[in-house]
Amino acid sequence: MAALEDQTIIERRGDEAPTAERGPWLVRHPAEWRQLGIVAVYWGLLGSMVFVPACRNVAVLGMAFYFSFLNSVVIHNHMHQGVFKAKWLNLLFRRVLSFGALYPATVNIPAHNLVHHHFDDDGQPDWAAPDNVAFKWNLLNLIHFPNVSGPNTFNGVQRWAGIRGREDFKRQYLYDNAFAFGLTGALFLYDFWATLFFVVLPQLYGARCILRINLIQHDRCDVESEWNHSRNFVGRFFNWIMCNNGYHTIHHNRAGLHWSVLHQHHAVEVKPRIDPSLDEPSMVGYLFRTYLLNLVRPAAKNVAAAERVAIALPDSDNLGSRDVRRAEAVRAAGL
Amino acid sequence: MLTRELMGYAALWVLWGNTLLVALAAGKQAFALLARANALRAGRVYGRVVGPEPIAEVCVDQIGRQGAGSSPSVVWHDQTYRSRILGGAIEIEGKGVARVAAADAIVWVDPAQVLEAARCPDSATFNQVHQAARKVKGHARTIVAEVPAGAFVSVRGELRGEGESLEIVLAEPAALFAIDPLRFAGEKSRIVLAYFIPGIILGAAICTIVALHEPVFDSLVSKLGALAAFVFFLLVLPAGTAVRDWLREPHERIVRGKWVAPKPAVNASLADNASRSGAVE
Repeated sequence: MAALEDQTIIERRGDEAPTAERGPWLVRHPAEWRQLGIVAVYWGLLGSMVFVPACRNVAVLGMAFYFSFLNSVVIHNHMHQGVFKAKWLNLLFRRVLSFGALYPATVNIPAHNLVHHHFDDDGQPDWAAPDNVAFKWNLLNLIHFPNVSGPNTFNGVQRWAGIRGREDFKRQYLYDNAFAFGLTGALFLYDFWATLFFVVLPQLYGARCILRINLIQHDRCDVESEWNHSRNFVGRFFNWIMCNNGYHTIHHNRAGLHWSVLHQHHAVEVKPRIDPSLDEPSMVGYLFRTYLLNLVRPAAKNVAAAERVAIALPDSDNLGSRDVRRAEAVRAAGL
Repeated sequence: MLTRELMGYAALWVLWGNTLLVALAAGKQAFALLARANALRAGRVYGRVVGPEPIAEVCVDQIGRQGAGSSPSVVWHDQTYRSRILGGAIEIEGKGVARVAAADAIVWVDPAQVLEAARCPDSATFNQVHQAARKVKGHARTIVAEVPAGAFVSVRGELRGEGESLEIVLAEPAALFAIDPLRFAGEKSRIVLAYFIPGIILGAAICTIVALHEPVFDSLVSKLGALAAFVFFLLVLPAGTAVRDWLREPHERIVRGKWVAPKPAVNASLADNASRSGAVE
């Protein structure tokens, strides 16, 4: 519990910027420089392939694919809690991130923060629910998942945006799109083939991979349960480069926490309550085992039994209801 | 060094891989719908519903919220789909009138009937609902499409007894059809298997042929083919999910919809027409 109390300063609402003497320069949290570094490296990789033909090789392209995925991870974090202290910089950063994934980062507000975090769209399933795919050969589910979840998400977002009072969202959505497609279009005019192969392919790869994460982190979990709805990947290096996105249960339950402290809360709050099979040491190992070595989809397991055993933990009443958490997620996103 | 040719072929491989997955998923679902209809049609009893009450209903719970835009509207969002046999009697030719017990059941009615039930009845209702839909939680309603007295239906079950004790003992899962299930599934599956799947494969093939125009990945024609392939890739995915939704079974069909305020009309007749045309988008 002491670890949790120490971190309450970080568990602040997204609209509460720290004072100048407490916080670092420009950004809300010193760890944000890691995210900015990731995006800078990604832009550097894309730029080098477009403008320097010698860079069009397997190593740079492979790095661009990987950093495109990380760019989408940064979108996720940024749309939960803006990286910068200044609102205008946060909005500008949204455009930068949108270009990196060729989709408007603003989409994450309804698609991720409001619907996915609660596995529910007013009674209908999450737009990126694992049930969207149903091939017997599990590898096909992994490959095909973005083909369904992507359009599902954009359909859902269109419906969500069609409701009165969401004009600011639509404006931001438009600006994100204008920047992402405008800059990509300009690059097409500069060098069509280089842009198609060395910019658009990485952009699409990252966007599709972040959709796949929904399948990887929730398939065969119990989304009705309070703690056993997500799969966690707890490798140290993995979480360093992924900005702690492996700690998914605690992120769902406490969306207001800053990503840099998720590992501590995972250890204290999540680990005693989840089925051990939902604490995976390595994502690569999990993918290899689940989608390559295993031809069929694993059978469902009663993972929620673990939290019923652990329900008497001293801080078990510390978690707000899903409605309370939804409101917290909305506040953190600055809505 | 990654050459243009190598990257071009890799990109086409991505296009084809995903197009084939969309086709495979659509085909799989079409066959599943056929198999489902085939399984449900076995062991049915046919007859006409004896009144006065409806024998079954399909319900869609919805939430309505005020729509964006300058003209008043209500946007409907589906929450849950339910269907059940309410209980009643069916007249079976040559056998008499058989009782049917109430039960949760799969009920297939004409999708147009559900859409009709979802329409805005009049401008007074619209105004009332529009006001209620201002709330963040929206305005809840349930669309009910009934299978009325006089309708010709088929029920999954076994006919037992005779005379006044004649009854249909429902099979598991219980199902009542106001439409021919196999015909419904057959028509949908045929469109997917005969038109959608060949159509998207043809689309990918045309893009590929144009993209491979000599000099490959260098000429203007090849460039246009690559651009078309990119656009096709962005379109074939939503087309796949649209087909997936379209293939849903009738008792779980997506309804949603939008009520738009009836426009002021010059006379009662025009007002009535406007109300009808603007009811559901």
